Amino acid sequence: MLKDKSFIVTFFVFALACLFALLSLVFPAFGIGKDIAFYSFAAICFITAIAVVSLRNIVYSGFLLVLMFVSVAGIYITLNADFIAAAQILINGTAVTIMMIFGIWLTHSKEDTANENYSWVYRYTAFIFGLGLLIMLVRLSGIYFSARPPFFTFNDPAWLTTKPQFVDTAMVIGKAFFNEYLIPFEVASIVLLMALIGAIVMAMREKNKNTVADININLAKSEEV
Amino acid sequence: MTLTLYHYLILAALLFCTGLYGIITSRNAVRVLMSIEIALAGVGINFVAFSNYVTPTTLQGQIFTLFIMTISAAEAGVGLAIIFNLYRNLKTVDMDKFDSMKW
Repeated sequence: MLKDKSFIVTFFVFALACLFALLSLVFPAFGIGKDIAFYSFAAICFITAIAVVSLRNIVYSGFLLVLMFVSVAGIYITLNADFIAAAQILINGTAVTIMMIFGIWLTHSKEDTANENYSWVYRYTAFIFGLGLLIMLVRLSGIYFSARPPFFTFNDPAWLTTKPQFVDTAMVIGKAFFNEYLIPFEVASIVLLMALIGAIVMAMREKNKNTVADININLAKSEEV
Repeated sequence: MTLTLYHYLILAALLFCTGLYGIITSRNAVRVLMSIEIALAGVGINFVAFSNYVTPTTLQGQIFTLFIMTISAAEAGVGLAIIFNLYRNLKTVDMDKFDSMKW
């Protein structure tokens, strides 16, 4: 577990890295280019992801999630995906994280055991599990680390170093949505509507209905009397 | 050293495994939802990287990333509604306490 007091120091380091990455994106004439932007955003993204899963105070986790989504949007920009980057900031960076933070605040209570730690055996087992999956994924991605060939190689080596082609991403995506991806587009809108209605119905407060906790409290009171 | 597809694949694998670690080790149900969002961000980076390097003009990976964003937003809404309902009934968000469907 990271100490919560180191949060402020790490936040300033993150802010400096963000500034550096943005400068290198906006002013490529400085000589610092796309790879510096990628490494800065990747570092912010990975460190904030680690912080989100391991900080003790979950409110900090919720706010650091915003920083993680914004740095993922920066990585999308280094991949010439400007429309996706804007959508990432608008949907994930603000809407989803605000919902998460409200979820944290509405379900927070001092007596709750949810913020206690698991035992170290549990956490190290999960760490080994994640590390194994990471090694498997990296081996599957086709990188030569040793003399042994990887499980998988790309058919066309030119895929690895394609020169960036500046296409009008919004126009291409819009045309694709209304031609060959029309049915998935409509199905996605129906899924969103169903999720909206389902969330409202499930979170709606039923009146005059005793919950288990209320019944237990009433039982305890009656036993005291 | 120029950026290749491998850089993005390794970053996506790191994010996905971080999200998986969070899903396993989190006790708070809201943190589990946040870990799922981290894993989905890794998946999105993978899709956009393949879109940039393999199909740079038709952008099929970016279209799939938009679908992933839609589904993840719907998942977050429904998941939080379920967590609110559980919290109202059990007064806790501890994953270990969620062990019965009916009470």
